[in-house]
Amino acid sequence: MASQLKVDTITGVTTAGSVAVTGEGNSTTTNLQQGLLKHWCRYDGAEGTPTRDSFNQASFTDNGTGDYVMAFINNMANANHAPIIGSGDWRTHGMENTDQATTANTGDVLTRAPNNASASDCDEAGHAIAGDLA
Amino acid sequence: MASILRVDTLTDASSNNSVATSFVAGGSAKAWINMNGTGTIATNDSLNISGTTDNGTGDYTITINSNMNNDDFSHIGVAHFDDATNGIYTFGLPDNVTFSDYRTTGLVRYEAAFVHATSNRTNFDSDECCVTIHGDLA
Repeated sequence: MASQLKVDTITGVTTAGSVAVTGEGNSTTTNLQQGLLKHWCRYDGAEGTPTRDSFNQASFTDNGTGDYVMAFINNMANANHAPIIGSGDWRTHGMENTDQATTANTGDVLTRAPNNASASDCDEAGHAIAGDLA
Repeated sequence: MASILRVDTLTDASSNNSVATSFVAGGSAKAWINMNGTGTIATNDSLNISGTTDNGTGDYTITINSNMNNDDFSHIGVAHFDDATNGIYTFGLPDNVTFSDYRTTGLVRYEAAFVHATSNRTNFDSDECCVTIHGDLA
């Protein structure tokens, strides 16, 4: 019988920040909290108001051509998160991860043009973060 | 005491924002890693990763702890490089290889490479390279 659980917050019993979810093959479990994306943003870096939609994002700063910084609302536990970046721009910009230089509360991206690798605004791009929340 | 909850759908207490638990399991990343690929390579943080191997310049094998159900999973890589020259940097499966050898249920073998305006694809050791995997667990 189908069932529905109504709840605002899910918390582990043994460890508050750890809930196991059974995997698709029914033979193992995965950590729910660690597997969830902690931030995502779809943006148009060529426009004055770049963010189209986002999750856990406090602000988006355009630091210059192709150079963007996204600040999180709820910070990450450390700077060792795993960024995911991609461009849907027809010009297929290369995207450099500059996240390494930053802290637990921002994600940085630099987009470059494919023809000469110079910094270039990107019309449509996405950025997401996997990792541990603070 | 540990407990198991069997349920098909989650919603908030106001019956909004419902999501099927199949989306929760299917939409969660099954593995990710943030690693330093320079010198003696080291894992900074990870989920469901059992180890890494340095195969040469920019060439890393990342081993998954609990295997994926098949090799059709989605995998995304990002590599950082401190480089004074404008370049495009990639982290992914190498060129001209049999993909099935480099992306199995238990590992991905990725290469970090750059292209400059004046140079062809060249491998480099990345001071921060990351992989995220979505798909079905075994």
